[in-house]
Amino acid sequence: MSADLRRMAMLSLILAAVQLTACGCWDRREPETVVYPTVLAFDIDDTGMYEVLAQFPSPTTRAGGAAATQGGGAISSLPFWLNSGRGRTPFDAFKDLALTTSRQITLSHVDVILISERLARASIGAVIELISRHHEVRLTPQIAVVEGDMRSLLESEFPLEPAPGVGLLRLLELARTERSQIPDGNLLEKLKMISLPGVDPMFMRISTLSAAESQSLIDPGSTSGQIPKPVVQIHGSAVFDGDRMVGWFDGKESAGVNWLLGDIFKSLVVVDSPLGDSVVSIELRQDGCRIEPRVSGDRISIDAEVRALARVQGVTGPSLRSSVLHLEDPEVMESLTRRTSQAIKHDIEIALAKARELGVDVFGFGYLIYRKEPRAWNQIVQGRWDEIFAALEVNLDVKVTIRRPGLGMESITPR
Amino acid sequence: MLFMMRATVSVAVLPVLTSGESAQDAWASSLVVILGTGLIVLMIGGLGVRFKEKTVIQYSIELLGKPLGAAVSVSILSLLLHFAATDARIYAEVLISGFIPLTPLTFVVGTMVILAAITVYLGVEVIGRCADVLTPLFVLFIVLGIAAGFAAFDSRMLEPVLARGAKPVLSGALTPLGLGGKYLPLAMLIPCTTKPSRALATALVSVLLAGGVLVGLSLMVVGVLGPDLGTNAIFPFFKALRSVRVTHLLQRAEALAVVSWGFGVFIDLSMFLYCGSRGVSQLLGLKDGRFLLGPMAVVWVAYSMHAYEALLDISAFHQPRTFLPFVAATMLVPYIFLWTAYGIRTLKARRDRGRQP
Repeated sequence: MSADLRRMAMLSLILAAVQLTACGCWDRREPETVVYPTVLAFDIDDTGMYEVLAQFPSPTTRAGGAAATQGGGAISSLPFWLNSGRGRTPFDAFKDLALTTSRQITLSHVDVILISERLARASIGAVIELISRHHEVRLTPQIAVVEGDMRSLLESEFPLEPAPGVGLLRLLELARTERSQIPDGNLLEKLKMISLPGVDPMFMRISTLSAAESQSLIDPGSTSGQIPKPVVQIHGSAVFDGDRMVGWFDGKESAGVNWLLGDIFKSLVVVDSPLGDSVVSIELRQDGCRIEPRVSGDRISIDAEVRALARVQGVTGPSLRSSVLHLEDPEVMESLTRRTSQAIKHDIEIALAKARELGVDVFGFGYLIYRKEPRAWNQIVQGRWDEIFAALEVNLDVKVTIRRPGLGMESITPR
Repeated sequence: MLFMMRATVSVAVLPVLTSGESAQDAWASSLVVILGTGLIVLMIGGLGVRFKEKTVIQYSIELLGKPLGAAVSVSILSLLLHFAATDARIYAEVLISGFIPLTPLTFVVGTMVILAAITVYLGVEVIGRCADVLTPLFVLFIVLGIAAGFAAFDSRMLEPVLARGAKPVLSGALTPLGLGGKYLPLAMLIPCTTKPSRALATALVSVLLAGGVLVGLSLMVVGVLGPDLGTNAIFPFFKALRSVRVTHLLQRAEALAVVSWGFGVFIDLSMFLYCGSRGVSQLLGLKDGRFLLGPMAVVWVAYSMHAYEALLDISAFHQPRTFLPFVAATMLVPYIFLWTAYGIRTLKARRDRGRQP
């Protein structure tokens, strides 16, 4: 055999070997045999059986509108399909889906994970086990707790969106930046918080509205031809003690927590005007947040400084004449700044009071002490953080700068 | 080559984090590992550069005599076989755990070993040239992987810094120090180099560079996953990148980890097989060891399959309490013999020179 021939034979062998590694033919999956759920919802019933709802974008429906309808309003083909499975564990329930789904279910494109309130109050430990062990699930989805019926939520028509899953994901991402009344929804962050000392996680709170049932895509009936209404509201948080939900925070309480976590993108306060009987809408952005633990002997306290940038977005009164606000006046500005600071402080204080009432440190003060004052954590706290948190002294200092009055100095004054 | 072989361990299982109690201080364990590995390289390479024309097999027999030298050689060759089989198995496990769960383990390990055997058959220069080509890509993918991880990096996860004292830091450094035995091929390669006298310095530079990768990965993984999730992860770098979404467009960065790891494993396996076959042929007094490659590859695949019943066994075996005695028995004790014999021989030579008129 000549040297060239030998080289060719060797090269062919190498190429063959490389191709063998690439094909993985035992795991070959054709695209038309696979389906990717984008939303997974977990529930538990009174007998302790888990239920998994999976929403699949339909591969046979063209993207574009909500439901494609025929002449009489009957649905010809939905842009998604919803299926459910039951079992003794979340994985058992998930595998139950395979008995009624004609394609192989692959979890690598799950964007939203929903947990029912009932399951959240029982424990989300089993769901976390499934998520953190399953080789297809990533830790990037948004996770939220649903107040209300999950099935009707996932079957309902989302205005502007082709499928509830897409609508939910967009809403979860947008609501956080537009109002900052909800916590960060990233699954990885939640898993980390559960595993860290001195901090309890908050999950996004989704409330199913009454329109969810009446606007069902499965049975459009009475609402066909009508303008659809919102089906969910994302507001506030589900508060957990470890893996167990212990209560709800409303929007203001959640915003209060976000101020101390430095997680405010945009927030809004409406304060009484310094002049007359009007109110002023002020949009806020976080300008920083500094939280320092103070340890003095056996006493631990927290100094918190929150900074915000404000923008006047409108003065509302009975009439334009009564709403005129002279923003060039230093006294008016000083008063407005003080009122805004008080509003933020109020949100933080009600959040703090609620957290103490529920016995959860959603601010992560304990984790802060664990990080910054490990000696105090070991010597003073000694596993009694819940007890210490209940009486923890928190010194708040809120600094607001009204930087912009919008695009006008004063309101238009009728003459 | 040495850099890739060493850095591949960090990409694979990040033992500074997973094998001890270092948690958020894994980066400090990495610094200890750099120092310790430097000493191991001095131990292996220091003797090697004193016998520039010979491999460890040859100078073992020269220093210790035939029976004891052969026993030391068998011990070192068995450790090479063990490292190679374990690396092949771990890479196969990540592919099967994360991507191709139905593909038989034997097929994945066998394919990798066949590729390595073909490369070894073509000669050590081909392995070196492959390393030349792959090293820039290996480095690029790791740097991109670390950069992607910083999209979800949270520096608070690294605190409290060194608050638990030195013990957890040292516990995290023990297994990676044992893996310093992966520098054993240096003892086989020195005679193949163009400048054997610079081999030791080059190896020490590779320790520093691989240590840099280890520190970077430790920081990134703990910053992304946190100390608890990071410690519990079986493949931490892979898991950290799976948990990151850089933007809506840039996702699934774990491919960077798997590809760079694959490059490293290819060089790693080829090098171990080359050193193994060369060592066995020298031990048996054969002129050409290439015909040994086939049988060795079969033994290698079989060992890789049967050394560990399950993935958990790999993790259990690499705990310091089992792994360190194993490495000490197969590498440290033989080298103590070799250095002692070398010391005695040098002293004798000096004494003899002193007696000469």
